[in-house]
Amino acid sequence: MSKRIVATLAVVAILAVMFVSIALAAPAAPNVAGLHLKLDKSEPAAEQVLEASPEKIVLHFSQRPELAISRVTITGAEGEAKVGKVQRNEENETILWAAVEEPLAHGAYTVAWVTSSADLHPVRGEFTFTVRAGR
Amino acid sequence: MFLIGAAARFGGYLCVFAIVGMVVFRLLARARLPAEPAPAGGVASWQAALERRAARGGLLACSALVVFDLVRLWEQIKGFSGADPATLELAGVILDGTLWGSGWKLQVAAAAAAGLCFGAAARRWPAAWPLAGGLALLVAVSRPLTGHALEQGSWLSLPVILQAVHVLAAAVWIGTLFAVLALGLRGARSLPAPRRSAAIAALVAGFSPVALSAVTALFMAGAATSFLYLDSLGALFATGYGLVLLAKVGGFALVAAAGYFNWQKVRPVLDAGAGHGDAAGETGAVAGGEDADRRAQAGEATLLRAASLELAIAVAVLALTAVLVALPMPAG
Repeated sequence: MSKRIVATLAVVAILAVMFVSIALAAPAAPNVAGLHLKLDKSEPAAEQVLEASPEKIVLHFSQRPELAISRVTITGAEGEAKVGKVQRNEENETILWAAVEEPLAHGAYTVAWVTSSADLHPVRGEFTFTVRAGR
Repeated sequence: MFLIGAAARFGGYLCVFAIVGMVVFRLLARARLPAEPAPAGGVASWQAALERRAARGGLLACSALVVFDLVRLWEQIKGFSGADPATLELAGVILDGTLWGSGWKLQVAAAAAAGLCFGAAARRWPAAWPLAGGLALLVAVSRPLTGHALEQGSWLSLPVILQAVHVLAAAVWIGTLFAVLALGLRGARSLPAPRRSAAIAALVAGFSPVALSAVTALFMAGAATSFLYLDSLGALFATGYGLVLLAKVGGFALVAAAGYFNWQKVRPVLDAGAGHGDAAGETGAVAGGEDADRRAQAGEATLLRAASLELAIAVAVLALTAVLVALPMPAG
């Protein structure tokens, strides 16, 4: 058997051992599929009825979202409400929040949000809540 | 928008494969083709002409890659701007404020620098080819930095490393096959029969071990990545991602089968024709040589058809890959 064939087979064997090891170890590694970004819960919660205007909108995600491209808007009967810049919770990187800069009047509101994980696939969602105050 | 993104990824992969293929082809040609004396009258030797064509091919691929990456950036901006117009401000936020943006900048910088080096190599500047080779490697391994593999938020995560190996191995295999077909086999047609057979046989013989190693690395890295991305066997059949992955694996099997056919059936015929070519020397006249010539020509024609089929199926698999990476991940 020529040296070239032996060398080629050796490379193939080494690569095969390496990757079979990885494949066998993969179940112990973090399951990437399970880490796909999604909204776990929000404050206010979806469909919640509040007695007063919320001070901020808080979004709890399943993994760390990219802050730079995250946006939150609140829309009611009067149009879009003033919302501050989206910020990250200092103690938990998976939580984003935005201040409601002017108190919301009585009525129903829709929160629309957009963010992504590091791979920059946009993830969007919206939910509604109601403020029952100041009528 | 999905189709635009998938098309830009497809075009990007084609360019990456061509870039890496030109570098590996040049290494193969240098290592395997017999040295030629410099011809008279300042005309470049056949091998020097091959190298220049490879350099120009690399330059063209780098230029096209930058264009495709710009389209991907635009697609990304539109993904966040929605119905609003895409703005430079949003582009700046993505490029300067996200890990994806950092990866994109690295990719484009590597492609642009590699293009400059290929241009210098076409003018036979010293050290241009080694630099082009290093940058071609960077172009290939940086592709996962703007894909699903980045979801764990680190350039050094296991998915990124596996994907880098996967892309590089695919580029070495398919890109070099393309270069051998487009430059080597077609360029060899200008040579007289004995030298043509020897040159083609030498190129194919040099490509075979490279392809075998690359296919192994490609398959292993791809399989390991699939274990990470699909949390159950059922997800293969229950998600769009899984179904496209199955189609990709089927296409890979076809490509590998075509490659195996070339290796086992066509190569011996080429080698026999090359052996006759070595014995014929300059005159090409050896007793009983006409039969060997005909067999060698038939082998070359078969190789061209089989290798072209292998390449065509590989391009189709690449199109599936572009769709795969544009699809959202199967949710856990």
